[in-house]
Amino acid sequence: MAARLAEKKGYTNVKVFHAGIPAWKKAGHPVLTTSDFVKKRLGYIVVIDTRGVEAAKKGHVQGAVAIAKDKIIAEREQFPLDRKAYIILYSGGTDLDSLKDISKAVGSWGYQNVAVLKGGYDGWVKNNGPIQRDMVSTKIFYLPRPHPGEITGDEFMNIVRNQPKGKIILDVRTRAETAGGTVPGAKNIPVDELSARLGELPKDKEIVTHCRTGLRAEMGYNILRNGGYNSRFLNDKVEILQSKVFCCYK
Amino acid sequence: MIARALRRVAWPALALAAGAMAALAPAGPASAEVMADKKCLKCHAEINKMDNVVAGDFQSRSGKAKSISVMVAPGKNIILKFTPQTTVENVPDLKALKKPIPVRVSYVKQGSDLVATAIVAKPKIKVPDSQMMEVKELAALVAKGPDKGGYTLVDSRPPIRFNEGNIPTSINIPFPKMPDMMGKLPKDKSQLVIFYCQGFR
Repeated sequence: MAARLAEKKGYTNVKVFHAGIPAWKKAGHPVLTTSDFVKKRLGYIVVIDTRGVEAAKKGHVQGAVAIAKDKIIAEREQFPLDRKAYIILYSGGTDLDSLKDISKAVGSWGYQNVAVLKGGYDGWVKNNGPIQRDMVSTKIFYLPRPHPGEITGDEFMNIVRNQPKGKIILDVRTRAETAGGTVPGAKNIPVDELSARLGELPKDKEIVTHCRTGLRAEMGYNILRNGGYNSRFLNDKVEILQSKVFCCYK
Repeated sequence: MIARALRRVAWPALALAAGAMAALAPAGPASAEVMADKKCLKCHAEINKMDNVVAGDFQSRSGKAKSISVMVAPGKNIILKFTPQTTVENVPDLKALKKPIPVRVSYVKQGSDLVATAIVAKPKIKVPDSQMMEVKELAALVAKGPDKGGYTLVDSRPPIRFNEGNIPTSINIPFPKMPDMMGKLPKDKSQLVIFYCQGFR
């Protein structure tokens, strides 16, 4: 372990914060995120410019939404349903003291990934982060980062509607579940039978898996992919009301 | 010193001797198939010599499919079945496994299925009471800053985790890189150095 290694090297006053990051957050303390992380996740995180609209008009992190620090609490309704969404707060510079209370408040709403951008807007610019001017959004828009192999609900619906020859819709739910109705045109192989029944599927078509929540669809996708098949999966919830009447949503 | 009460601490900053992960249920029929995340192999090279083992971050579990998913490389997940006989170590039960706790799974091949026989979550390790720092104490130091507080705070997690969210005033020294990064620790070896990590459980 790191602490022991330090002691071996002669350090005499070594401590361990054993509870780590989760305990730090749980106690309501802020964490810092870096420009590198925000750059990588841009488009799939909520970035809030806490300086407000006027400052943001002069330049803001690309895709950031401008909500002044003292207005954030009032905008709670706007925050995404997904409590795992990354919520990044920033101001002009490294201004942790002024953002720590709001970071704590947003964390107390159940968001597990709230962080303050280290260096703020100035640091972002210095690190060559993409910026925007003028057009400033004040409405939070959140799209979760798609998993590898994920297909959008829209594309899935199109496949069901058009039943293209190059695609196979594979329902990986149990027989008990499929007895209550299936998506039109879908073939059923429960995911726990899939590796044994791969031979029933063609390798020259794309196999699009779905289940009820996306969890087993992703497992099915992985089994297919590891077996050398061309596949994607629907990471949405699917409700089948009667055969041919269904919907899917995040 | 030796009699001092020991408490349990989590991975990965406090990565322990490889031995703790080595005592695992025997592997199934030999087919020398190893599917292990490179990250695990950094400290547990012995996994490469084991038969029928999957090692990586736990991803998901489906009760309906009696299956779990383990990520062995970015974008590569292995699906294994579990049975009532599958043993689970270092967490109370299978349900307590959450993404992304590192696990090592021994399995047997049954037809085309991989059936897990033993799932070992990354174990917690022991740290003497006198070395433990609590959140209040750390928060008080962080409020002072490293100069006034006279400390160096080290995040031992991989850079991706550090970048995602770290404790203010900390520096990142990923555990596997530590031997090369000793220069980042204070010159004065009597100065307070505090290590932290993900502390999963």
